[in-house]
Amino acid sequence: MSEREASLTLEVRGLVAGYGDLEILHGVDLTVGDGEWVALLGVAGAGKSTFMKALSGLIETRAGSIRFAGTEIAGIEAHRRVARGVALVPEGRRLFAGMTVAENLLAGAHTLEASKIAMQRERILSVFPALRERLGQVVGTLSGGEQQMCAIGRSLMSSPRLLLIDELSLGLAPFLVDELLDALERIRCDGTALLVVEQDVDAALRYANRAYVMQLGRIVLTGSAAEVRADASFAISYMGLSPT
Amino acid sequence: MLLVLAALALAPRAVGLFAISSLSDVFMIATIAVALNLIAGYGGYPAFGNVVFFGIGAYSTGVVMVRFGLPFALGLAAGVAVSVATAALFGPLLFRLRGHYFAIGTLGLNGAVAQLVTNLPLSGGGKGLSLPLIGGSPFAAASFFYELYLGTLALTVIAAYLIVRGPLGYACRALRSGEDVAQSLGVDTLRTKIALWAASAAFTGLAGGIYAYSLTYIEPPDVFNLALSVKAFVIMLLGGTATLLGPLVAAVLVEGAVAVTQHFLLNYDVGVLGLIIIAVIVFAPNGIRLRK
Repeated sequence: MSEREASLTLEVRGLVAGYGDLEILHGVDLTVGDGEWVALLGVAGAGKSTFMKALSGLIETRAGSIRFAGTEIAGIEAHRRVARGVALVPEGRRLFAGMTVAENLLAGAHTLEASKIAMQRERILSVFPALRERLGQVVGTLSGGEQQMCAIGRSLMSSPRLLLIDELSLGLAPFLVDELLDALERIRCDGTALLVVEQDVDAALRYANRAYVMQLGRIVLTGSAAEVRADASFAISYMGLSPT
Repeated sequence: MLLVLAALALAPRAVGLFAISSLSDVFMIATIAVALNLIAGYGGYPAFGNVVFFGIGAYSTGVVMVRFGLPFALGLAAGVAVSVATAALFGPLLFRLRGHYFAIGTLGLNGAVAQLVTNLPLSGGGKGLSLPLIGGSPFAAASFFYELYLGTLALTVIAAYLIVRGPLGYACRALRSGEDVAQSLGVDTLRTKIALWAASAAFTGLAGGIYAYSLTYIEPPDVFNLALSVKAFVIMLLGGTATLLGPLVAAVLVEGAVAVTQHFLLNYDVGVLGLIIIAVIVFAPNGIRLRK
């Protein structure tokens, strides 16, 4: 493995994917470095969620390469990618509504050795202390913010090296988004790289090291968070406006 | 629960042959329903043709006893083994299907295995297979099978409890919430489904094996009978899907209603089952929901 590969958690080249006859992603290139926070922006329908599904193995890759920690993972099944260290927080949280917070967290520990489960749960509860008070509570009765914490915590139970989060702030009040962003920054500082899909530009770029903007299944802009924010074409592509 | 089990174990000493026989039927169908609940209720895969394992268990037990002259216990073990092997063999193919497509796939498997058994000389073909008589008085024989069915039901419920409370149970719940969610949490969904179906097959096959020896004569239309699957489904739905104790209560209600009808209105039992199906679907689509 080269030095460059070792410093990259994720390296995607020319990724093509879609559903049935419909091709959604037309050759996407993207990288995430070790312990890096990368934001993926784009309007609804840009292909962000499809990209996250392709990364996590929920849909097949038709062409291109997905290298994780220096190893090609494009052809392997979703559950094996989790075991290798890629975890997804799906859009809409998709928690197990009839189960408690503790049970939801345990459900995320499927690939973790039994001896490490308690320690990993403690780590998560230290990042999301609000969940500790709710451990015995059925998740359907939690607030939206607590549900998102639980969804992130459930995915973190596999102790991933890369966490993919699809629509972090969807339906959440701004103060809850701030709380989640702070918690994610602590998770990143602990060594977990983040790739976060987000519609709220300010929230997405607050802690991100770098950002990509996707439009119609292609990356149309990339750079540091500051560069992306400042780029005039960003508004055009992100807001879906045509240049005059 | 233990008190109920102890009382039921002692029941043959206090009740007559008819009651023992009726309760044995209840235990048998309850076992099949609890086993069905594993794959259909907890797993979310409506295995309408699950009766195939009842037939496989019955015929495996019969063939081992009649053709190879081996004891009943080995026949039962063979019934369980062949049922599990069948689920493991056809699982990867059938679990490519979902919902009613999967249901139809399992019906196809039942039809294919029934046809195979009908045409194989080893299984006695269409003429059926006569098993050795157990011997002893009718009451002693009925008591033996009563205890065997009761023990099998207890074993099935305990195994189902351990399965749904263990790692496989969490995988099942994830599976029911959506295969994509389960996969994104690291669940090997195909392996989980096959494991569930194999467990379901094992206990259904066990019930089939006991049935074969208790009846001493089996034929394909009897043991691959879809009416048995339908009854198990009604019991599972009435008891509440993905519940452990619900199917037990529902089995008593359904089998009790059928037995009473057979006693007082001979030949109307199928009609009563039909009315129960309609009543369950219309008035209790979520069952009686004994959440245990």
